Amino acid sequence: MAGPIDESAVRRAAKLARLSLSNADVSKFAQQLSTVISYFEQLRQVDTAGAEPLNHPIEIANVTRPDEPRAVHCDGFTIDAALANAPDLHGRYFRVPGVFGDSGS
Amino acid sequence: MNARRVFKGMPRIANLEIQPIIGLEIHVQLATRTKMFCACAAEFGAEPNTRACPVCLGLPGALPVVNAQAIELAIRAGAALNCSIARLTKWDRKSYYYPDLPKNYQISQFDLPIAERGWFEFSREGETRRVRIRRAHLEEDAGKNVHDFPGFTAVDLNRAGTPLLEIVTEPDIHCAEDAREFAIALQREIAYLGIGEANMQKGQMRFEPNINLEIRDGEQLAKTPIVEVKNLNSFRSLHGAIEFEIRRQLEEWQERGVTGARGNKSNRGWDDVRMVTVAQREKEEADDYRYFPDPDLPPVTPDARRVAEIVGTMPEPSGVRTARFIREYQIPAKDAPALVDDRATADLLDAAAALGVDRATLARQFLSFWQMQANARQISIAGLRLPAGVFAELAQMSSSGRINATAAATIAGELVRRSDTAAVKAGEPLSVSSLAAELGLLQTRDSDQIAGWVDAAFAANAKAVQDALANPKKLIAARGFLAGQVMKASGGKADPKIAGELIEQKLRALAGDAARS
Repeated sequence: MAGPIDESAVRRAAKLARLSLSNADVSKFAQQLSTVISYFEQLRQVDTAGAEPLNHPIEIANVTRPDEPRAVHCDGFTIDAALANAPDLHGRYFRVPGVFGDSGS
Repeated sequence: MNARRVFKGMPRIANLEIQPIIGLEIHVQLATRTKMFCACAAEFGAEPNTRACPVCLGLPGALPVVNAQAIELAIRAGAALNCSIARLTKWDRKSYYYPDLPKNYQISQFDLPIAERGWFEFSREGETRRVRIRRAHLEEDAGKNVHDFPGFTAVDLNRAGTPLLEIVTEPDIHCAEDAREFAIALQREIAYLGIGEANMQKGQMRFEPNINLEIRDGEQLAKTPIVEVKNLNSFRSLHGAIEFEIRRQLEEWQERGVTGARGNKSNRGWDDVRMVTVAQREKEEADDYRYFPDPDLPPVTPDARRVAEIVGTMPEPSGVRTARFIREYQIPAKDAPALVDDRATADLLDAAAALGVDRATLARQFLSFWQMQANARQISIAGLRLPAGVFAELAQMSSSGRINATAAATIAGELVRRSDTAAVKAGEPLSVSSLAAELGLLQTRDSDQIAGWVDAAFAANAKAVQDALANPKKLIAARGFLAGQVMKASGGKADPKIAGELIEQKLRALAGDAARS
């Protein structure tokens, strides 16, 4: 996947991220992201034969919790407060702009 | 499943061999009390947005933590699907922009699923068929979008984060009936092993078949484009959607010659009323999930010892148990479900058998009068709440000839009645043999006593005995008749084997006397 990031790649990434960018932004980010990607080109030169893939940046594993229902222990959080902070509600539902079709997964 | 079969039920088309190629994706909701990555209760039917926390809402800084029970149930499922369990499994973000997942990604498993490369068998028309399993991975369910309102969508996040196991088969299925039978067998096994409740009405199990056709015309092979039918929540709709797609794809190929190329897979929905699949609106761009490892969640490394422990303590899968019951209890295959399907009853049968009684007798009693007692109360045999020892003792008395079959059924009825009494509830043990004695149902093996009944039967029927001795053709009937008289005189208590022997001895003695005189 080497090679510079062109403007169409930036526009596509912006669309997927729901960002609206000006033309000036697009050209600026194309240059900046190309530079970022070039660092990976440098990294690719390292010989990784025989090295285990790194699956997580911190070397821990098996952090689990027991299957016991528990009230939220986060300071000040209540679901009603969260609902009250929503931009729009319909009864106890979050109300969002109309979505058509079905979700799938 | 490897043999190529010509699909039947299709309009006959000269020289064409049509082979449907079907794979299934199955989502199973796991039987946990809480969600996959937070401690919110996983409940069906609660008020909207009452089971949601910062993790469910995708609030910044919220930290997901893996539910240990979901891992355990997934390993159990992996074992039931004959998969290898990963030594290292990790979590990935699947980008997905939709309001039912406020994080804008779903936590799933991309390249290192918890289980892979297995198989699952089902039987159809007495034949065992095997479908290979490609993988099974853990993920979280989305919330619910309600589209019933004009101009807006209402979002309930109670379901968001519910643990799901997605099972993916290889495309080893070749007709709608096999897909349905496979799905039914899988649903039963999931429920049997306590992996998930697998209640179809509650949407706890959903199917997504991938379907296309291979059409062979002599040397030519054409393939129709693959269609995935989304979110089927009944066996009927799974069967109907596949049947419909097979016909639709064949027609489309005949009329327009459409064949598949890499990447032109499409999604269709199912209309349960019209029984047709319908094209879903194509997105402007193909899905771009941009999977990448979730930095919030460290990997899980189930060690071999823990996996062996989970597999060792899980219930015996119903498929394995069925085969064993047919073999060990000498029952016909058609009777197996009555003993296997209710896990507590199957466990009870095994527990009683382990006490060292004749298994065939025990199974026969389960299938006859015990089943009748349970049915009369609309419960399972285990629901009768009698200890395993009672079932074993009754079978033992029956197979050793201490009671006859009718007496066994009578005693069973009495045992069930008495199990409800205060004394028994207070802990007084139920003794089958003392109950049999109390009811006067024990068979006697006292030869002198039986000889008395035999002599009386001969005396009362002297004429018939004489006729039988004179005419050997009548001898067999006379033996049976005399045995009946003995049983009647003894009130059914005479051991039939001993009575038979005594009758035979007496007939021989009389025949000898007649010959000498």
